Order: sequence, then structure tokens, then C-alpha cells
Amino acid sequence: MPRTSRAAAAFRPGLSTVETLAALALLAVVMASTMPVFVRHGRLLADSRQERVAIEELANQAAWLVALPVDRRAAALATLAPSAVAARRLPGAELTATRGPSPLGDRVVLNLAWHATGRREHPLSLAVWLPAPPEGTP
Amino acid sequence: MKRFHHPLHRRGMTLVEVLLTITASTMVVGVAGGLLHRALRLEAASRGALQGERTALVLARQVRADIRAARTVACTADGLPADVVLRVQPAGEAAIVYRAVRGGLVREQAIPANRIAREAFSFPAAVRFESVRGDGVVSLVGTGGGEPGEGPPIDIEVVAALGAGARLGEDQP
Repeated sequence: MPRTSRAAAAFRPGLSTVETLAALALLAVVMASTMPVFVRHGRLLADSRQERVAIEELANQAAWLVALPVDRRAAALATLAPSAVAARRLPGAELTATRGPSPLGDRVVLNLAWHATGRREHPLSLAVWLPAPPEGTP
Repeated sequence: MKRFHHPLHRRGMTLVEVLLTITASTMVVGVAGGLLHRALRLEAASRGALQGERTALVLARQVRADIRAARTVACTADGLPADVVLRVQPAGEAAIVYRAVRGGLVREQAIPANRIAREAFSFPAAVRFESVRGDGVVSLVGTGGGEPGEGPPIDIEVVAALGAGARLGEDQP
């Protein structure tokens, strides 16, 4: 190679093809790594929607229990089931209730679990205090 | 002019190098554009969805409070006008009317000085509302969305227990 060409190659400004391609590859890797962020965002959005439906479901069940005559309360608690909306929106929804006396009346704790991260181990709960049933009522 | 800048000694790129670079650049720009488009759509969808969730919670709280304090509650089956979803008559106050409008519900109540207080509950998609009578309760049910371009489906069900002494049906003066 002539001296002038060697000098030009050594001091040329700009990027070689390899450098350009390496930079583009790095850029592509960085952009691809943002994809999980989108997926996670979508999951968070779905989780917040499910939380709202679950909160409403527990409040609705509490309203049903409040309006129920005392003599039908035990049977209603035994056959407690998620509503159609909750069953549709919360995969694997399970509604349970625990009942016990308290100084304020009949204390019922509603628990709603569904297939979501941590919601099987820690179901959403709502405590309701209902008028105590008369003596002899189950 | 310096020697290595002389046009005769300038090193250029071959045609293959140029084509390779253009192809790679096009791909990267395409991916970047797709990501940007997706990010913008996601941002808009998230904003709408979260606003809808928040509105649903506020609406549920308001409906429960109104029905708990009501003397009479009239539902869709009680022959309300076509655009009225729920009519609640509190004791000693003007009636509260939940009216279906484009994009949601409006709560209206006459207040002194011939004015009407209006509160709008807007959703990102068209939601159809109806009220249903139950055994000592009233349910407000809303469904909508889920169609292409309408965003995620919206399911609203608010069950509210009637207060003591309240009854279902139109108010009898």
C-alpha cells in the first residue's frame, strides 16, 4: 500500500462497517430488552383490574348478607359462591366465609382467592358485622 | 489540504457494505418505530383503563351511599324513562336520577335556586347500564368494551342494600 493510502486509512474520520454493525446490534439488543417491560406493564394493568373486581365482589356479597333475614344467614354462608362477573373476571375464584361472635354482633369475614400472584396464599378479605341472631338460631 | 484528505486517497465503502449498513439500519429503525408505537398505544390504553377502574369504584361508593339513604328506589323494571337507569328518592331531599349518557352515567339532583347538581361518571368505552331489583337490595349492572378499538371489557356490578324502612318502586307522594 502506498504511504499516502496507509496514512489516510490510519487517520480517516468516521466508522468502519464492522463498527457500524456492532453499534446497530447493540442498539437492537437494548431495544429487545425493553420488551419484558411491556409484558410486565400489561400484567400490572390486568392485576389492577382484577383487584377492583375483587373489591367490588366482596362489597356486593357483604350487601347481600346485610339484606338477608337472620334465619337465612347460615344457609347463605354455607352456599357462598362468586358472582357471574367475579367468576368471569377472576380465574379460579373461590369465595369462603368464616363466622364468629363479637361484641358488635355476628362477625363474618369474607375471603376471596383467585389465580394471581400471592392471592392464593393471601386472599382479599372483608369483615362484616351483622346483627346478632336471636338465641337458638344457627 | 492535508495529504490524507486528498480525494484520490480517500477510502470509501464498497456497495456490499453500504447495502449491509442500510439493511441493518432499516431493521433497527423499524423495530424502534414499532416499540415507540406500541409504547404510545399502551400509555393511552393504560390511562383509559385506570380512569375506568377509578370511575367504577367512585360510582359504586356513590350508588351505595345514595341507596342506603333512600326512602324509595325505582329500577329499570319500574317503568322509568328510557335514559333513566335508577331513581332514588332520599328523605327530605330532591330525587336523585342516574341517567345513561354517551360514555357513561350522569347523577343529577335538583338543588335550591332551581339548579341541578350533575356528576358525570365517564368510561373509556360505551357501557350499557341497567338496575335490577333484588331481595332487599338493588343491583346496578354495566357491561361494555371488549370490541376492537374499544379497549378492554368493562364489567360493573354494584349491589347496594336498602336502608331501614326503604322500599322498592316509584315514590308515592
